[in-house]
Amino acid sequence: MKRLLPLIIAALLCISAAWVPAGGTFAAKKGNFSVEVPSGWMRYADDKGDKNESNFLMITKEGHILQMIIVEKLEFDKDLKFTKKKLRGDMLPHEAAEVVADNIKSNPAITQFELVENSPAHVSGVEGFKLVYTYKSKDGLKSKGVYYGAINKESLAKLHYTAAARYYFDRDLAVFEALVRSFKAN
Amino acid sequence: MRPIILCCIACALLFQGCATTSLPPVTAATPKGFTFEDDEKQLWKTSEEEQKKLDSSGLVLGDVELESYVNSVAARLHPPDPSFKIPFRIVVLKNYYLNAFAYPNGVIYVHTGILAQMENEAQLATLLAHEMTHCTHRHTAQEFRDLKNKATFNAAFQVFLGGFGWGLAGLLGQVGTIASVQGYSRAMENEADTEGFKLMVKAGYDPAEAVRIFEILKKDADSRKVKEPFFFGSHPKLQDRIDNYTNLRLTSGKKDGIKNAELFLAKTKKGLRTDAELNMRAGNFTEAQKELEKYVKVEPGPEAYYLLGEVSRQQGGARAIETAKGYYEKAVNAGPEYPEPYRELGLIYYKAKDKQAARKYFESYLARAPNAKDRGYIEMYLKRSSE
Repeated sequence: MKRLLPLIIAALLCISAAWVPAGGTFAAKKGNFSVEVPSGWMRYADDKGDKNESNFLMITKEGHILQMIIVEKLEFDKDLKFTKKKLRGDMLPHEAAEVVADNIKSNPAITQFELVENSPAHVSGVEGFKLVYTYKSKDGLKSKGVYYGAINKESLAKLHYTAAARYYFDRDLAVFEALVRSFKAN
Repeated sequence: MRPIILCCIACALLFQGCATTSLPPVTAATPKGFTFEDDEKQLWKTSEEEQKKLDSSGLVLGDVELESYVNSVAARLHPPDPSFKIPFRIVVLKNYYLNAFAYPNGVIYVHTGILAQMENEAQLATLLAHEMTHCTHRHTAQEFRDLKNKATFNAAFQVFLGGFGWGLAGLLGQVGTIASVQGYSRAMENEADTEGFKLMVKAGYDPAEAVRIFEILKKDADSRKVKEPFFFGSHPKLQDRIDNYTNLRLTSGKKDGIKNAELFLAKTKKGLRTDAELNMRAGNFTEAQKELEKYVKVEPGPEAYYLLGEVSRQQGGARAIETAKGYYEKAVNAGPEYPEPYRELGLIYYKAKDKQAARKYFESYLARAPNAKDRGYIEMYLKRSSE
């Protein structure tokens, strides 16, 4: 039964109108970026279609509780979800990383946040940061996340992967890293 | 079946469904042989399960000195008695919202956010006495019975959760959510005010502080300009407390009493600092600054000056950066081996393109924190400062 569970979840995702099979090149409608999406995953389609065009990319293989990748561009000086701090264009990479980490830490749905790594990184040749952290989700699941951020002229490119710390995180990390390498800011 | 028998069964069912909500208080003077009723025993069981989740959530502050202190204040209000049925235990939660709530089994959770607003022990005693009365007067059981009788329990619980979002609610469950978010009926809250006031006065605390704490909380809740999800962050509920305690104080005729302001600040300083950090993280800079200004008075060391510098820096702007610089320099003078202020001074000079000064401070930082998690950034900036 345990082995069948991911298949059942995937099947349930399939029949949900908002989720469509993923794969190929995803080009953001307004976000000015493109990325190669792994096949065998499901994409959240806010356009309710299968056109691989939205402002952001959100994909999962077996359900967002088990793993999730989100790629989008965050505009500077816009409100973040959990902190009143704002991202600014004149920030150094570690300053942007600090705001992003504080936004995650301030999310009331997660507890036991621990920063594992905070280091400089490049995304599509643009200078940025990489955060690795662990936390407990609202479902009580021990989870792990990786967040790449790269500062462009008027936005921060966000490539965010979260997964159950046991088994799923390690299994799908390579898929996420390949997706990060394929990221192109237009 | 005879109609009369059917009628009896229907009445019995109705009676069972509408259990009386009124319960006498549990006091030390309770006659021998007192037992809680079945639904209360179930509530205690549920409470213990919810507390287990909460205690292992990482939200408990876990400062032994602070917890021992708040528990000693509770013991002063309600001296431990082996015949007493409710063993009180006070736990401090890391949460910047203004709140405290009690489970029926005597476990009371106090947020760092509400502790950080208090000025003295008498104010803490007021809050604890109010919460303890909810336990001794069996308010949770009465509230649950009332909701059950109205057959609106599930709908009501969903309404509370809806306004609350996830987070703490997911951990609290039904008992904790009702205690922390909704509060109890007006009559029960008034009873908690009256009986709680008697407890704090009997313990020798200054009755004027009972009014003062709710005035402080109301002022703070108003200045935050956000709708807080918890009972003690609600404007009308705080105004009710102010009105009640003002009347109680006037009728008591008692003046003066214990305040213990210095002791309170010394014992609660870790909660104060933690709350300031939580507020800073969430971008509540005004609250964080107020708390740190209080903290620096009781612990004027490098960490306090560094955190004050951080509040200024994170607000941005040239003036704020100058203020931050002043605090970082103070921190370096107060504790030359404390690493963080060196990094921040290095970054200020790096941004100002003063490469030599930036280098000096970055090197000082790395010498004091060789295993720093952000070492990669600093080495990168250091390299660029050397080019």
